[in-house]
Amino acid sequence: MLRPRLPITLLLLAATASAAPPAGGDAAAEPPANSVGRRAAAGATAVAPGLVVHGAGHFVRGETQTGWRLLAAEGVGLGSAVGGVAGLAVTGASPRTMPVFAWMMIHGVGLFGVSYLADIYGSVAGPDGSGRPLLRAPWLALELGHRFVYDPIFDYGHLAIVGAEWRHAFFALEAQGLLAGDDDNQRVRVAPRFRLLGPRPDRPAADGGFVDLRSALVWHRYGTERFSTTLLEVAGRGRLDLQHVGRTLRGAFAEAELGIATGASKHEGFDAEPEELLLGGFAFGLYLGHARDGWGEVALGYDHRHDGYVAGLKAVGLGSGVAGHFTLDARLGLFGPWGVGLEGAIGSAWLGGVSLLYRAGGER
Amino acid sequence: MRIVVCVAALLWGAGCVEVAEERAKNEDRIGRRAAHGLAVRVDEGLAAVRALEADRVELWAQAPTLTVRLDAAEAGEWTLDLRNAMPDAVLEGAPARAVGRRVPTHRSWRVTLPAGETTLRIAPPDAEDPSPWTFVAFADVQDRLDGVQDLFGRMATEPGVRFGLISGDLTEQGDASTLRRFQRNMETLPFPLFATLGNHELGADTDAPPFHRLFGRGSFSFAYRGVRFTLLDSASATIAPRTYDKLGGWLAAGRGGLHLVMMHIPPLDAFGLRNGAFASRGEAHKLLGLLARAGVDVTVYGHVHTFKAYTNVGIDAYITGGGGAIPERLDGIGRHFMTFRAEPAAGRVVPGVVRISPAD
Repeated sequence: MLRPRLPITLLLLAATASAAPPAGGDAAAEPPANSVGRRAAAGATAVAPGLVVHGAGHFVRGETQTGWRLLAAEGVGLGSAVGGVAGLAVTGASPRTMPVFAWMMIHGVGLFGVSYLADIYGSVAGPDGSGRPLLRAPWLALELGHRFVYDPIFDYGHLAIVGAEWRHAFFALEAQGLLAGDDDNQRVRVAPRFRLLGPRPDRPAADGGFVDLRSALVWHRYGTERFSTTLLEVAGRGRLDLQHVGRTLRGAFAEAELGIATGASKHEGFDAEPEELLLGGFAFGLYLGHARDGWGEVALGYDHRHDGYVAGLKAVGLGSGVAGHFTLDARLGLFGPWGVGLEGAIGSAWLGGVSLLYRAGGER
Repeated sequence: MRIVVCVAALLWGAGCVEVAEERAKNEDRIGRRAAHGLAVRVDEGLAAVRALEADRVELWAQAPTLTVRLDAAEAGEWTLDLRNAMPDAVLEGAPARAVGRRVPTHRSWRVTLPAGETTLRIAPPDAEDPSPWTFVAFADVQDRLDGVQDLFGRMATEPGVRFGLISGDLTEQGDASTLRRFQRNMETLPFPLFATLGNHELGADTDAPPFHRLFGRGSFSFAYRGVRFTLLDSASATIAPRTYDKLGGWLAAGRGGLHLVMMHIPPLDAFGLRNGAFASRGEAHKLLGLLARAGVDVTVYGHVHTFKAYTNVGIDAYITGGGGAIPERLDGIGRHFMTFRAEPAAGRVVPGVVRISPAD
């Protein structure tokens, strides 16, 4: 499914970076401590005590300024999440205020999660990081693949996915179709996008970060169940290269998204009824590889949407129905423009799949 | 603390896509038990067997009409205590003598059983009467249990009410002692309350919550005076696949007549951005499509702490979450319950709202 991303998390994270220059950090003139033992100790610290004190791994590695920034990000994230929950509780999730508090909660949790994962990554990463971003975006990207879905409520299990994305200057148009091979079920998404900041096909950017305004028209037909939904989405989406937070985070990025979707559902033989969705999410990712003509990245994310093949988490008890789903998305160039994509997601269903990818243009 | 519980519950459930299936399996055991030379089986599991002693059986009813099958190893006399019963329920099928009880919804009989199986039918005299009648509905008392008599006191004055329905979240944590407190509070009412469970009832054991033992099944269906009632366990923001199998039969039984379906978490929230609703919009629409095509007339939900009237796939839908839990602010509603006047001959159910206290 589509990876989620959003500006608020990024703004908060960027704020904690205090406008640090790329590759900046503690004693920028000196390389970070790179001994295997030091990095292993830092990594172990980041995993365990670091769950409570984000940045703990960086303190062990000697990257104290980055450690403080991650700790600050954790605090801002926690504060935002707690504030969101408190706001929802006090207002009884009133429709008049609920979206703001929900976004605070989502991106607070996102900032908390990103700062934790960033601490682990930065504690063990080498001086060049995991990889480099594309500074010039490809003008064409194609995808053809298969998705397996296990959802105990629906009969479909195998989906074909076909996608294309065309970019021209600041504009991009993305189209994607998912077609069940063993059920009467189809989902089509057409999404125009405007890049306000970041890599474009016609000119290189300073790093991989971006800010997009996007829209999408999503049509999902459940033929067996005799209904369809049509949604128009409007969202902001952004990415921040985490090298701006600390030099040990070179190669890592955070993404976030915020928006809404509105439209209608239509059951055969019944009038259409309004449908709406809160959009929001975050991701932590890594660029993969350093080769100038290569490309690749992997991201672990959360998507708040409750529709589609994965929908929301089926949590038990008090959290029932609230959360969206988690995603893992990897894309890696193998031979020139050709590459492979892997996707996994957990929500109301399990989804996994592999795609053949083609990209024209784009360079690091 | 509530936040910690929420997060823990969320993480615990993350990744499992059949969170309600085990609970649905366990439900099938409700309504049957054997001990002391007597096997008890309640058709459709419409009552929980709360006690089976040497000469006494105690049931908690989840429907106004019950068929109880008793298989005795030897002939003898047994006391049948029926809690949450229709106050005028009559027992047929075996020689029986009514025993007086203090609580109107506690019916008790000394029943003489022969060896072998005996089928008892317990029902009020008006069970098949098609004339108009009234029932009430509410949800989400949660941590306002101490103040629930405000609600019950007003309900008790409502004229002609035959029973009430609760669409979940009777208590805050669903533990046995609090559920028993809820049941003791119910004793002030002159009519029974039939309940499904909410997400707050799942407590620590989400597969076999105390609700099962003390109230009974979360998913069940019964008919009374020209109306079919189907209550579904949506406490995990989904319906168990096993329950969908049963739902097909209940929808078929309700086709052509008045049919009300109740569950705690609505398939779709009236305010979609909030999604106080099923985890999956796809499943929500699948379920509502099944209900709509089967001619269901009314759906009643809880979970969202307000009152809202809307339609889902053309079916009249009501959220009635005003039992006392933290209310939705700025909605002008406050604590309330709903009344429904069923008019089977006219093919309609007329809703009403009774406010207990003004909005905060």
